[in-house]
Amino acid sequence: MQQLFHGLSAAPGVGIGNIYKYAPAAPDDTGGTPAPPAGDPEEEWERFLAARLLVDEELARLARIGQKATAEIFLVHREILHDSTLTDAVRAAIDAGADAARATRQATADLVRLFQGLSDQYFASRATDIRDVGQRLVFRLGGITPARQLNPLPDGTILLAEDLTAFDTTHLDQARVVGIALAASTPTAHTAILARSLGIPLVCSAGAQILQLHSGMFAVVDGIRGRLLVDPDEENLEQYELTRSRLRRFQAEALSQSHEPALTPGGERIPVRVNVNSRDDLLHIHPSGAEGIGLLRTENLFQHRTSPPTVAEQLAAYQDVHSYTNNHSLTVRLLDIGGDKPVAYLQPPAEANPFLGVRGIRLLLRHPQMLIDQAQALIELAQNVSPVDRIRILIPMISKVNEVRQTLELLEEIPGYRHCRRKLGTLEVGVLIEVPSAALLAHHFASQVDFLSIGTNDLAQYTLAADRVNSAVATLATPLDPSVLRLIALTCEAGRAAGIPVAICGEVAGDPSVQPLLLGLGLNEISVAGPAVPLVKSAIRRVDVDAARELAATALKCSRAQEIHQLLHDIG
Amino acid sequence: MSNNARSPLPGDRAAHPQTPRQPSKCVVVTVSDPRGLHLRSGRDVVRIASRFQARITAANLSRNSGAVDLKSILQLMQLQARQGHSLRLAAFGPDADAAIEALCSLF
Repeated sequence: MQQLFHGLSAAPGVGIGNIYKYAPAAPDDTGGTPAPPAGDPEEEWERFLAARLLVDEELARLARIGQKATAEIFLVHREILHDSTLTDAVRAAIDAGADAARATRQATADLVRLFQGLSDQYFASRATDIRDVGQRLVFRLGGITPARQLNPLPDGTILLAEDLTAFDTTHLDQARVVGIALAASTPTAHTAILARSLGIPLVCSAGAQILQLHSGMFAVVDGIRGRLLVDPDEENLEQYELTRSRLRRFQAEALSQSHEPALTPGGERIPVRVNVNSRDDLLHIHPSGAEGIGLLRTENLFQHRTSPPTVAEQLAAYQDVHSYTNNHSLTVRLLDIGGDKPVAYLQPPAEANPFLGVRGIRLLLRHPQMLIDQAQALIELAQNVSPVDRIRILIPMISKVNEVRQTLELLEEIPGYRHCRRKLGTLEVGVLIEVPSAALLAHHFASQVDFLSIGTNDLAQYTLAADRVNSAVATLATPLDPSVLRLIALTCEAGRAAGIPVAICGEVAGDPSVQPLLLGLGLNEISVAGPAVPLVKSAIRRVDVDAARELAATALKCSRAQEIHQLLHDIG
Repeated sequence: MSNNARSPLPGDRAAHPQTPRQPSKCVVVTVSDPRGLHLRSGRDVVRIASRFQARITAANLSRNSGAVDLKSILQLMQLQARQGHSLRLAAFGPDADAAIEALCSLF
């Protein structure tokens, strides 16, 4: 029975193999062996200095052989290695009677704890860098480090762990690891950067439940859509084998052209943007070659506080995000919150089924001041940008035509709205199509808005009545089901008739092999996870739009998702 | 160079009151880098600070943090300095003026 786990895409590609579970001991754990008696403090200090020299040479070498992004990591690690705060703490522990290895463990563990306690996520993540430098030192001091379990590994290994440090990643048996799945970590962690430069597919944030899996299980790491599939059924396995071979061919070319625009052979330019969930995702925008942000989720701004953020607070936050778009547009989804993520100051009623309850625009229309404040902040930002790096407001969870009308009426009253939207051209309003009724009725409201964006994750789950995080039914909720494709086609038709672009921002859009189908259905813009951008652009450059239209017409006649997979395979 | 070697978080003890007649210089700067004072830009700050004899500290006024040693990247990171944050830089020693001048150009 296959099991599907959803995580985040951190390095693209598909890996197929057997799980090897890596459970490192805590960094300050000596592995049960009694520490040898410490020598004279001066001798221990000399040992530490000698180890530090070796680590420094090792980091300098790693910095020379890697790409620019990875080189930076090792240069920063050298800086930490020589940092007075670290070395003074090691010296103090040695003077207090510890041997060099124990002193290093202790000093780095203290610093790691200190950093983990910082409130800002970026700075708190630096704990990983410190742990990494500590591991390298302890390794050179002859101490037991868990990374000794990572080399050698069996052929075709899918490495599964809670997290990996950059040290782990540089010490693992790279030739034999075909994929990595991590319960924690983020796509901007050093391990992800290293995995991308090594060409090893990586899925992170897959959740603690993957740690229940054990070594030897057969699995697929789908670094494109951010999934781990265990014991895949035959159909899925076959598709993944095909995708894998196709990707290998295109990867190198894709990376070298990631900063070029994605033009189809017929010359149509398809903007490829990124979805942003957290601050970390912002750092992907420039390196991946993305053209702005196609979906900014704003829930984080509103959660974990006692009152809603003020207009000024929101403006500052959106300005900050906008500074990362590299002179491209920023699409902001209005607060999409419901009973599953209750926010205390909204006093939400308890709901048996929050995904079918008061969420998204339904909630905002009940709290119009929140909608007005959020829009106000975005309009103020729109007054200071150009049409090129314009602001696009995206309305979530529309299921009725009335909700579009009511929202637009509220927006019309906000000072600056008309000026920005109609005169300056720096503000657009669009509807997120994620409920089947919105797709079916899109032609009724398309002419009143500036763009549509299809959220295929929710559209598939609402169309097929299957929860995508419930692994027992998750595979039912595929956006490549003919029912979902027909809703996408209807939405594209409504957009075309109204003369407005239609975007897609679901997970499926990150799969290079579906680009012909998406363009054939009539989509004009793509928004994906940062690491997927180069391969998606490269796939778009190969799409013959006429053939793609025929492909879409054939796909729309299919009755089963499997036939559609087959069609994609035949053209790939 | 560091008077707080035994503690990773020096707090205000770094203010070092027992150095009376030394030249000192203090200035408030605003972080302009959109990514804040992250590892890479922090590295430049530490590099420049380390060229001077003066003892140099920084406090993040926007987070009400204590002063840290600006010659240590690990202490600098603890300021958690984001774009727009105000930092108070202080230098104590013979080349304090030159140190502050050089550091100001980085913000």
